[in-house]
Amino acid sequence: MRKIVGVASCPAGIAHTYMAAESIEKAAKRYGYEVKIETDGAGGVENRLTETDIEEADAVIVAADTVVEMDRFKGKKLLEVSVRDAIRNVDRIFEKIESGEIGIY
Amino acid sequence: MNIVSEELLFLDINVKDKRELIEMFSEALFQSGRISDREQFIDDIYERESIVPTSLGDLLAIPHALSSSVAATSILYARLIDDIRWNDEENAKYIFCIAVPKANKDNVHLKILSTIARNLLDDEYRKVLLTTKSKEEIIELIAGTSC
Repeated sequence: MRKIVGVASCPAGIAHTYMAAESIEKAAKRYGYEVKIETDGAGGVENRLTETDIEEADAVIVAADTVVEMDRFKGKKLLEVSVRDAIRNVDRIFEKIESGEIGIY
Repeated sequence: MNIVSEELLFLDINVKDKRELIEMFSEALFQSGRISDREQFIDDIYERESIVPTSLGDLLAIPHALSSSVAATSILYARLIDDIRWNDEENAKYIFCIAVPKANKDNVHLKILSTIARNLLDDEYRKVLLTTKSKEEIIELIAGTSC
């Protein structure tokens, strides 16, 4: 199964972080991906991506309005989006991934 | 203290603008002993809004703050009769407000809040918030969330 991993993080980390994660997870399932989204919220990092997760991923989505640790994604196909787009325009994100028009980080 | 109660829910009301709504939320939190400083809470809500507005389309907005003025994690909800301007691009009619004490970094409430935030994307959950006449039903919906 194809796999998507990602990170969601918003400034306060108590609402939009989790909505973005939920939105990406739902869409990923709809598009037939296995999915794991790390949430960097006020309560700390949950569902942390492991090296294996990242290695296995066909694409990475970073939905953050904050600074997240990016080095770990070097060499992966990666799309950076706003938290808002992850919640509101998630289909467009997946259309981009499906069309293959995303760059290598 | 429960995370929500009847005096924090406002169904089918009118406010003239965003400021009045946030002030109303702040007053309700103060009157129920959930915050210590009305102005501080308002400032913290606006500070978060200034980074990225919390409107999400579909007339839904979720203002929230981690604030030193907050004594007890609380959720407020207002359903307006007429929508109000939320930011330069969007209006809001259904407003879900979340108040979290700043000192509480890893309390169980954060887990519950994250679940509630996720639930807000669920059509059935939203339908209740958009249509119910019963505050009881909203309290059950929110209080019934476990992590």
